[in-house]
Amino acid sequence: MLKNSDYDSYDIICHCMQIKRCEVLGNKKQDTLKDIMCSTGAGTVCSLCRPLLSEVTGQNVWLDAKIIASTDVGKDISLFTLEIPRNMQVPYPGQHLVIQGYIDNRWETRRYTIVSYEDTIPSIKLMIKKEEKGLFSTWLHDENIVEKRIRVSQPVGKKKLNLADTKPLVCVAGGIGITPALSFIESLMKSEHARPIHLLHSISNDSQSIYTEKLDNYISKNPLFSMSIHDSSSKNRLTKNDMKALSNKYESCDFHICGSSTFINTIRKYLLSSGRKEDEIHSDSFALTGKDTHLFSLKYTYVGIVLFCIFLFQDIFNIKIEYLEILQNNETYKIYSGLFVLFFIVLQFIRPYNKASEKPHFITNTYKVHKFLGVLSPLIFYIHSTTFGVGYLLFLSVIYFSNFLIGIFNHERITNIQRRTTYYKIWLPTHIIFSMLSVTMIAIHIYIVGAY
Amino acid sequence: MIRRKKIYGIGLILSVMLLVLFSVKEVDTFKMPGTIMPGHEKLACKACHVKEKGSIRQQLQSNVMNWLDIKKMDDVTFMYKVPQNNDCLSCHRREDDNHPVYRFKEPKYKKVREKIHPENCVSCHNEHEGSRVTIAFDYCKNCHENLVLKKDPLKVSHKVLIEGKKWSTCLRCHDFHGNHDFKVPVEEKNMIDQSTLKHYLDNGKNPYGKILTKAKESRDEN
Repeated sequence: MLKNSDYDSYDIICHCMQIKRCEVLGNKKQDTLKDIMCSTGAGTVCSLCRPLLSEVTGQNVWLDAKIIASTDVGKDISLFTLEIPRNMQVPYPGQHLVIQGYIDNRWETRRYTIVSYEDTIPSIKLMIKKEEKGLFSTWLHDENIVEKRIRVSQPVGKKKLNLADTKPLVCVAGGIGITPALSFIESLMKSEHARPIHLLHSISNDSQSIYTEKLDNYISKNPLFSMSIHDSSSKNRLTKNDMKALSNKYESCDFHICGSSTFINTIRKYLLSSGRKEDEIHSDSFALTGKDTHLFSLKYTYVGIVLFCIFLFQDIFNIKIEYLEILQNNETYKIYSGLFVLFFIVLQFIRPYNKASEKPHFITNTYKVHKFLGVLSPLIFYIHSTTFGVGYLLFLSVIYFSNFLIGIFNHERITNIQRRTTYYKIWLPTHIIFSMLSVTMIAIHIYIVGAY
Repeated sequence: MIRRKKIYGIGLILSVMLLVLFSVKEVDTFKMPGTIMPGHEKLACKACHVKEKGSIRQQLQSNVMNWLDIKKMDDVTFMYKVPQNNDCLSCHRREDDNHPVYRFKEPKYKKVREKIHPENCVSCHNEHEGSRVTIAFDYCKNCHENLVLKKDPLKVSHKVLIEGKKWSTCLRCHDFHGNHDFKVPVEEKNMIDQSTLKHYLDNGKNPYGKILTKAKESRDEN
């Protein structure tokens, strides 16, 4: 049962969209996860926060767990064994676990790859690196592990790779990104599958070379398993040629990449340029691969595009409503309709204001309103002016409508979570910058109109 | 959060750059709300947009005081004066104008003034619309609807033209301001072609012939 005191209501629940917990709680529609995602936008980018959002709907998502062992496997890296309840689903290789630790009277949430699962005493193993300024990882690495209060979610993530397949699996791991590869290897060792695995572990220093004894042991026991280490401190980082050589060695195989987003994007690029196909390359970017929900209602996009096309058409072919043209020549009408457009712009800035402020404005359900008003931008512009104009007015119109188009072609329409996260990182700054430029051009317009 | 601050920072820098760009004199022509009238292409903005008296603070204060009815102050605009007849006449003044603006200030034209404001140059020649004349063709009717000629030189009489509301034919024979070496035709075949006339009133070639008094190149400072 969720207690308000377990969380700070002004904490950010969705970091991608910068949505605070109180915004979700204040939202009228929170019956299901989809309701929350639709009306607030939370959970629509990397989906890490979806268990927390499900919790808000009243679902019991957490299972009590206990850390029963901790083994050092490298510098600042430990393998934690967690005893879990029997009602936990058996994880697929490569799945993740969302774990919460009760730190300073609050639940802190993180996600890690499940390295292995034991069903005799139901337990799972997580390999966690102690980050220098990490709150959670530091707390975990402290002594007194038995006293730590933790809880976990059911395993999350799609079943990406079939270990019963016979074509080789080549895992390219960067640093601590070795954990999914370890998960595959551990599963293979326990199963009767005969899928060859090659692990290429890229490390930036010797201390990242972990689990070596166990991996050596696996190599000696299973001829289908091989491994190589690339130490970028003594050589350069993995190059295009390195990946081409690897790709040529394994003619037909699946690749799995795990590490930082830069590492994943670089290796993916190298593999594609060496002739590998998209469906042969899988990756794990430490983002949950929960159930993809195609949220963004296409009706918003269609309405927006139709309104924009109508505006373009009437301006290009000079199809005007005479009464409106006369009205728009009236100075008083121009002033008041201009103020109306300005008011609309101000309303659109309530959403980013809420994101930035410590305590959100009383209007919490800003996401849907922001989208709805954004779609009406061409109509709002049309009320003030039926033409793009010339000179600086044309420039203002281009900025305004570009921002509108950026808004309707947002990340929500992308179903693949990896691509959606990447697109969002480009989309958001572009949208913010164009919004600010729109405001600046409107300010210039107001000055020119007032001065001349 | 820090990333968003950086994005807003970049947006702010770009916005400031945009503001600086618009303050540069060389982009003044870019600030026009519409195409300039034919013949005015080489004029600077200040040829018509004269700076208002007083400082910006005084202008704002005056406007706010008047708007809020706190204290009656000088009726001034903000930054630049609204172009008036004097601004136009500083270059376009002629002695023998057939339709000088002061004519329309006579009491008998009160109703016409209420309707189409012919006493202001800009009522017919509004700038930044790309056309020489921005009023509809039939404006002549406002003063000449009851025209009666004692001796009509036309074969098709003025009475017939007026009864038939053929107001678009007026300028095909009559040079409105009389600034061209143009003989008024009496036969229909010598009238200026309708499309040629329309084209001229937009931004086309002059069909009235040689200009008698050319406009001045710069404002009359007297």
